[in-house]
Amino acid sequence: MLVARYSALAHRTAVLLGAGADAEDVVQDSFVAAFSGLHRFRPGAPFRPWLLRIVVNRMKNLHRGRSRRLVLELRAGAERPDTIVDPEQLALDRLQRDALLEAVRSLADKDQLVVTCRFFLDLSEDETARVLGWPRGSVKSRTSRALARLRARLGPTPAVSRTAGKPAGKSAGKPAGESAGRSAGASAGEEVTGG
Amino acid sequence: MADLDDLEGALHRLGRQLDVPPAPPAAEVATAVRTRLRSAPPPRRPVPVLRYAVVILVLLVTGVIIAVPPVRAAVLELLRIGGVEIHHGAGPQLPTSPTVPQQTVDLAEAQRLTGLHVTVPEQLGPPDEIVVIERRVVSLSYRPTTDRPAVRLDIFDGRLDPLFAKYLLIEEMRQVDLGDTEGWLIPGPHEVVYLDEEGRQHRESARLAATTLIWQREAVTYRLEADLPPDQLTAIAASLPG
Repeated sequence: MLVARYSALAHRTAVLLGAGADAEDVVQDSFVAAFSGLHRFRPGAPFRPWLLRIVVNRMKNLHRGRSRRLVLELRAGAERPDTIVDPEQLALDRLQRDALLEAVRSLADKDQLVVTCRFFLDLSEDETARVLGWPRGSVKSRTSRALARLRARLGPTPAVSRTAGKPAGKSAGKPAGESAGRSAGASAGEEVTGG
Repeated sequence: MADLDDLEGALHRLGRQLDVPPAPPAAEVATAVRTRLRSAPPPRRPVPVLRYAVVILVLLVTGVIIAVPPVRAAVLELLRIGGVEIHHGAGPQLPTSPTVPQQTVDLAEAQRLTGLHVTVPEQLGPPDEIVVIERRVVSLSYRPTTDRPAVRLDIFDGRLDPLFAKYLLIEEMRQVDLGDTEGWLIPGPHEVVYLDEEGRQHRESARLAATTLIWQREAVTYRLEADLPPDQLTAIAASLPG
């Protein structure tokens, strides 16, 4: 049950945190540790961050022999053919994607970690705090700092489309104003209560 | 990721395009975990207490009552097809839960919000309504016509978390051939519940679904629901451009 529900996410977490060929082993090991340690699990607490915390700790152990810290493994995947988007737009998207990925890679380790948890693993602030074992305030402040650094590194949007060598008139259309519109999407307010 | 004004959205979309090798099938992982648990050295805590703790906690966590050894129950009593969880038996009693955010949009906006590549079944043409749920699901709705009943097609990335839970008798499911992939046909009516980003089940979304066809193409799971005979459902599925 728990394996069926969480194994894909655990696998993705391990891979993005740099497990490489060890990902399958890390995932199995984490589930074994989770089941053996279920007596330490607080009833009513969310299981997902608890399991991912175990994955993160296993990853730290795995890296201990090498660099004693988490090494993120972020690579762009293959393009998915999209019949609706025109090729010009696709080229532009790819350029922006690569620039964004490069900017994320250039961040400090902890900034990369928080970006990976919040955006690549779609975890809420609460979950990220639990998974990384940081206070919630640190997750919040580090996330906004990382976003500010990314914005600074990427510069205004038109610069990206200029590099693409495409007619400037066709660029995204919206001015690159500092949109402070924090997405209130994940209203992570309440906790799951047992069953 | 057309514009970087929406940096957070761009990061979410980048996340979906990162190179992550596919996870091994959950059933395979479950088998490996069971084997390891069997051969694992006994935990340091007293065993009888642990056993009880495991039973109680698994029941609390899963909300499912199964009278078989706890670890085994926790590992395998669930089937998953893409982003859809299949539970054997009746649905849960759900607590009240917050409403799931959803918005009506056009096709381009649906793709932008979710990062999904959305195509429309040729047999049905443009939908009457497109709804995006939590930036995770694109739901195409077709109102009934003189020729056919209402049709709903949900499209979502089912690689990570499950997005729908279905409660039915598993024996009623049947596998169908869709040419390049295989699908699962679930006769209606059966209970279906939406699972939000935190894994919470949403009561207001709980309803009895009509006959449903579920299939997966690469990262994307499709859920086609209509009170139609199986061959017509598979024909609609087949008319979806790749």
